[in-house]
Amino acid sequence: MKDFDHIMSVWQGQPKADQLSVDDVLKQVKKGIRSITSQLYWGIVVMVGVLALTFLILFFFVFQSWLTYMGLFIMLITMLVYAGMIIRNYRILNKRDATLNPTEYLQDLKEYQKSRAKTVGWFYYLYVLLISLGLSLYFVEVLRNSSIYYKTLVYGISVVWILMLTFYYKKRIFKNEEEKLNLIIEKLERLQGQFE
Amino acid sequence: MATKEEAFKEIFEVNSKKIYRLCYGYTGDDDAANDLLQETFLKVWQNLDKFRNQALISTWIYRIAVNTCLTYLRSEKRQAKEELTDQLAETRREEFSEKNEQVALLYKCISKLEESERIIITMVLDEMPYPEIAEVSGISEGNLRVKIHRIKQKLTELYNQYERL
Repeated sequence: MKDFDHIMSVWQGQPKADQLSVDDVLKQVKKGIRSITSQLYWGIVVMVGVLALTFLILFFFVFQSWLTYMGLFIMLITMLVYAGMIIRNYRILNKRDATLNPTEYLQDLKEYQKSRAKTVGWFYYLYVLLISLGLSLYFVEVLRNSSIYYKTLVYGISVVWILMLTFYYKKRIFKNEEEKLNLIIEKLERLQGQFE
Repeated sequence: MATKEEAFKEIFEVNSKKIYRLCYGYTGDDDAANDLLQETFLKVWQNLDKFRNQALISTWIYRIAVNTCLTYLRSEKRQAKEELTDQLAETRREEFSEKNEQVALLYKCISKLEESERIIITMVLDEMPYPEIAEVSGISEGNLRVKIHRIKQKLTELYNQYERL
């Protein structure tokens, strides 16, 4: 029968593990920081590019119907909302203080994950609704002089794309995301209970 | 920048061994422990300017490490690998020296504890003063003493039980 002092001596007598050198860790840390920054950087570059393109179409192409402008405007707003959401998520994640005590840290994270689980759900419907509305309005004028065959093709592709997003992509990706989020929340709740 | 690097290197040299043990005790996996160690020190680097000496630097780093461990999610790949490592550990048991075998057994017993218990006991085993453990874990000292007493008992029971097998 061994007592706790024996366990303590086993722990303290354990051979030194092969540890990473400080220079390697520093290199990795800097690489990690660079990759976070570059991810954000490219995200912003792509977003600004798409927004600029929409602006160009909106202000430099002359359309006759105000519905077309409305369509473009709606798509622009949708992209801005999307950009706002990414920036908001980034800021919340960045603001998270890893030096809080575990209960506060887990509580904070749990609230964020819960709100994210909700947002992921409703935002998708808002996004599809606005993009479909914007595209439909835009196509009314742009396809006015096209053949019926071309019109059917464009509308057909758009409808198939949105249906595919809703019934295939959303189910697969969003469901996975939702399951992951729920698992995280469940884990955070259990852990928080342990520290109370 | 050079002073930040120097400060970082010094902090790493002094604290990395204990932080690695905490991560290894938590995950029971060498690769995962190294990943967590790196992630912890990435956060240390990011927050170093915010450290205002209101706490001991070791307590501050431990908090980051504890939060990093708690929010660590095992990927499916890693889980499969861990199962495999478990099996390998069993079949290779006789190859270990007696000392290593005892250490492996101890880590196995720690892995059977709850997450918070794993974290608290590694700090106890590293002889961290109780007020500091209370500070890191955010649990009141009185409450912590009761918890530590229970965890010690549980770990000793597990150790004796597995040693007999």
